[in-house]
Amino acid sequence: MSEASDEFEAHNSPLTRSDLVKRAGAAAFAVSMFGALPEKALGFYGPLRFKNKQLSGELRIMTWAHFVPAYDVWLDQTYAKQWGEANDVEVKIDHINNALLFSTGSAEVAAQSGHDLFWFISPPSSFQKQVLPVNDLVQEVTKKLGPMSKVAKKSTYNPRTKKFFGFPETYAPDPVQYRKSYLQEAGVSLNTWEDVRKGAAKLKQIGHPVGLGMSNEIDSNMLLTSLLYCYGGFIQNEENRIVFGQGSNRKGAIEALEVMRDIYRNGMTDEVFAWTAASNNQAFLAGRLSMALNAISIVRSAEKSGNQVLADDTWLASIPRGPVMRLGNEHVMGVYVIWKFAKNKEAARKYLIDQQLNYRPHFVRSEYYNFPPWTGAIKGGFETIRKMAAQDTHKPKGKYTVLTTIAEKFTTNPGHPGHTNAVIDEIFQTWMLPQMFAQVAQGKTDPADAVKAFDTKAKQIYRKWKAQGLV
Amino acid sequence: MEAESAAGGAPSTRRWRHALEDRRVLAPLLIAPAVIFIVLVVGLPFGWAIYLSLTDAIGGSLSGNWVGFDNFTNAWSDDNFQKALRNTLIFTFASQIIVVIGAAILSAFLVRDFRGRWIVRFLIVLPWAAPVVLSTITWLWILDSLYSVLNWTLDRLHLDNALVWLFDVTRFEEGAQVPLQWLGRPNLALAAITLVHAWRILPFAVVIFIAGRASIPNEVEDASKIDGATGLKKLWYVDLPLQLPIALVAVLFGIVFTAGDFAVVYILTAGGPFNSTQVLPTWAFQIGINSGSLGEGAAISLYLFPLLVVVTVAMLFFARRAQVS
Repeated sequence: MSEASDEFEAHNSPLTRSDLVKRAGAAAFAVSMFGALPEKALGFYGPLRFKNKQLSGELRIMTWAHFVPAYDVWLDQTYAKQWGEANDVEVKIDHINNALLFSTGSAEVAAQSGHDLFWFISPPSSFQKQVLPVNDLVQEVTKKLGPMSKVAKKSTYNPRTKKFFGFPETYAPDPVQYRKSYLQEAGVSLNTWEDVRKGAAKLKQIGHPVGLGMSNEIDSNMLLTSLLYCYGGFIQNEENRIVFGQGSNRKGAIEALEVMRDIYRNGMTDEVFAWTAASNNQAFLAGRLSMALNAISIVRSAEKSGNQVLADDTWLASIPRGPVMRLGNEHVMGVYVIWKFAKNKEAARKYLIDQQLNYRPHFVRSEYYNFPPWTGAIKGGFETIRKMAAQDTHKPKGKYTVLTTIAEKFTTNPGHPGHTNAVIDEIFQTWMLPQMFAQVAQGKTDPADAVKAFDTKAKQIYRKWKAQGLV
Repeated sequence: MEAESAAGGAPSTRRWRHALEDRRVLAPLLIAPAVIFIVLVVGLPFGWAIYLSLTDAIGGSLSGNWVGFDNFTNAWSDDNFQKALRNTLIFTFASQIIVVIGAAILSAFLVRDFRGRWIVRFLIVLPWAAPVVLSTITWLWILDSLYSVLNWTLDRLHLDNALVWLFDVTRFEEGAQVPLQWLGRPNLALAAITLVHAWRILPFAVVIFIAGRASIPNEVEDASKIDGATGLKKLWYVDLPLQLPIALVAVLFGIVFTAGDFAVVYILTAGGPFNSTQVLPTWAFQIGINSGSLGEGAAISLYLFPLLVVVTVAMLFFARRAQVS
């Protein structure tokens, strides 16, 4: 890792206060020596550049408490501080638990007051009318870094309004994390969902059940949508119309529900219905689970726990392949919005651009948790990212390499093949997916009825948001 | 001038002083801060909620197009809303039954003089004094899927299987496994939430019951002793009838606290498993705040209003009766 002091690279060589004093002194000297000819004086010392000094005041940012706590320390105390000094802006960053972001955002909107920049853990589609479109920022960054990744674009762009309602800051791939020794002992592979279905009973038998959540929390939402993709059970089509109960989507959804029901009955326990977002991490780190889908917070926590056996035995893999495809949601899609009522819009805009143009330290400091939405933000793109991930020294060496493959090939946005929008947002926020899967798993309803009920409800939600002009 | 000063100041000052001595002025003046405060923090948001419930307002705006009662009818036709309404009633009334029985027993015990009475009273009042969020998080850990201290204790005492046998858990909740996942099965989660609510409200009811018992005149106690009323008979024929008005106040407060509570369900289950433990406040929050359908969320929360109005009117009625007697 590079030193903190090197990590902030100002793109327009901003002046510090002492630079300014020096140059002002030199200019005064030149004027006194050569007469009142500023162009000569400035010519002597070079033009005064105030580009970054046009910003002023305070920039208030709300973001989450990162799953890699050291990243927050660096962000607050080094990056933001240095950026603030370079731009003559006092940056204040507040961190809250990710589960409170939407309610806090709503409170700020209701009060029409709060932070200038607000970070959401998933695209805040329902806030579109309260935020500044950021098409110009996206365009500016794209001009310098090349195209934005598809997952980021489809998460933040509304094709109906033709606006980017949010600025993608980062995304996290969602790998499978598994205990190598347990899988070897049970003779189980995780290459396909069929392998998981067959192997679940063996893993439970050796005392290490599978950990796939069906609870009212975000990890379950992400996992279950991914499972649906793998079986071709898409909620909406490319035009963002609900197609869940139709043709191959219905068939795929029913199959996915059956597979999850079998995995639960043979290889899991009731705990998966009671989980919070942190529970699969805890159960894995306690040595109970044989596998879980999560961002790399599990394996990073294992490495920091001091339990070397656990850390070395925790391996990463792509999401299992289904009969239709191998594809999973991003685990986190970090999106910044600039409220219409933000007091320091200019500073907010510049902060976003500068951060993206200099994203490498964010990737490194987050321990490869934060992937850049513009792959070109790290020079060399995925090739460099792969090399960096491969150099991670934790055993087995190279285990993080697969993260790049997952990000490049197997990661998409919630709502695939359509866009992430207010419909998908409401489906997630009202826990419709865990509800459907858990009801089938517990035998409260059969898969076909569950798909029908889900489809009906999703169409109601679609009509509501269409009337609002947001889909 | 001197004459005016001697008479008590300028005419305008005198007029004010006289006005302040008039009850028609002084009374409204004294009560005005409280009224203004209530109007600002309760009246305005309530009025706003009614307005929002009749519009299609979404997150990020405080106004919307008029949709009449569509939000109410849409909410009513939703399965999850109906579950939330049912659960609100179950949690509220089931927990109050436990509270009343528990408070009657505990208050009878706690009015007696025994060593360590103050410590016991302190421990009983503690759940009420602790912030609800904090105490509910403690319960979350007690009922945790992995680290449940309750399951650990049952296991060490070899009571987990006995509990299943005793209460026939598998019939109570088909397919439930040992160790019991208290928050992973609908009926177990409903039971757990009801118990946490009862645990939380119980201290308040105990205090009220103790106060009620203290207000029973000694003559009545003496008369009942002479008549041979002891134990359960005394409780049933003497204590409970005399305590009834004040006990009802405790119950009605308990209903208001429980029906409007958000924290317990939100922290323990977030409405899960599969939205089977949602209550109106949490469902209104999910729809109105997290999903951004502000108007619909406001409508859901307003369904609580008729229930709470009835309870509040009854509460005021019984409080007045208790005061008079």
